Amino acid sequence: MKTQLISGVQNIIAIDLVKKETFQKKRQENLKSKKTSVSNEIILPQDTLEISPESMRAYKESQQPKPDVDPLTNAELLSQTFEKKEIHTENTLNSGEYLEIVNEIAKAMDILDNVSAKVVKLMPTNVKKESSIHQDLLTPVNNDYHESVQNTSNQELQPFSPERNIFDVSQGPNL
Amino acid sequence: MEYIDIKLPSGEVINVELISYFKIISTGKNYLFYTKNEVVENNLIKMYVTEIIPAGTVFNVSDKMSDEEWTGLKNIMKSILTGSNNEDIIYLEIGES
Repeated sequence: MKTQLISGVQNIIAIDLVKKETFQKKRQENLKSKKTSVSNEIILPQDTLEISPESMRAYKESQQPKPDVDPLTNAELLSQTFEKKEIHTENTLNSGEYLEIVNEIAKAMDILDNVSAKVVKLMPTNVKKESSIHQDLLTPVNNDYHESVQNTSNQELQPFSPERNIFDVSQGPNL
Repeated sequence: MEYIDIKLPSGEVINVELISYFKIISTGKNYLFYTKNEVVENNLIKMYVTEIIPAGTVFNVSDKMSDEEWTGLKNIMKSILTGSNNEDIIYLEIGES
């Protein structure tokens, strides 16, 4: 190393230009590489912070192969979604509105109970049993009608009289 | 080339060319190599080696250096010039301490 100690001064040396440039170059290169590594260290955590767990989960799910979706299944899912929305709407009723609806339903239930009770009470007196209905059908409703029918049939079915349908050929045509 | 202002122990502020600026990790001291491009015999130039006491943008030059310290600095110079990796030093930017 071509260095020369300056006489009388401990911390001064004489160097050539090559050594001076070497010192300068080494520092510049080292600072440049330090900047690059530091900037990488800064960028990586920032990128990591930008990805939330939900985003990461959604990304992983999107990367998984999707099964074939049945259109019917889609329709079912849509209807389920629609029903859920309806439920959500009902849930938005305030307590007064909700109680009013419950009371209306209770009234309607009472009315139905009363009606069914009355029907049960009326059943034994006004509704005939099936056996009696069959018997009624076999008995004549109007005796006069049956008698007239019998008379009419008797007249139409008179006994056959051979004399009335025989022509007397021996007397010749009656012209 | 990078030029900086240094404040000498006498209080004089001069503008010099920066050659190197680093910290010795083991001692925690900062050192500056600088030149005023003064040519001496054999066509060499003077290089000043001094401890720096950080004080903002101005480099306060210390005028005290022990033999042991100077020996250690000469070994660091050798390691830099021979290209060997000296893990006991960290190069510093201007204003960095």
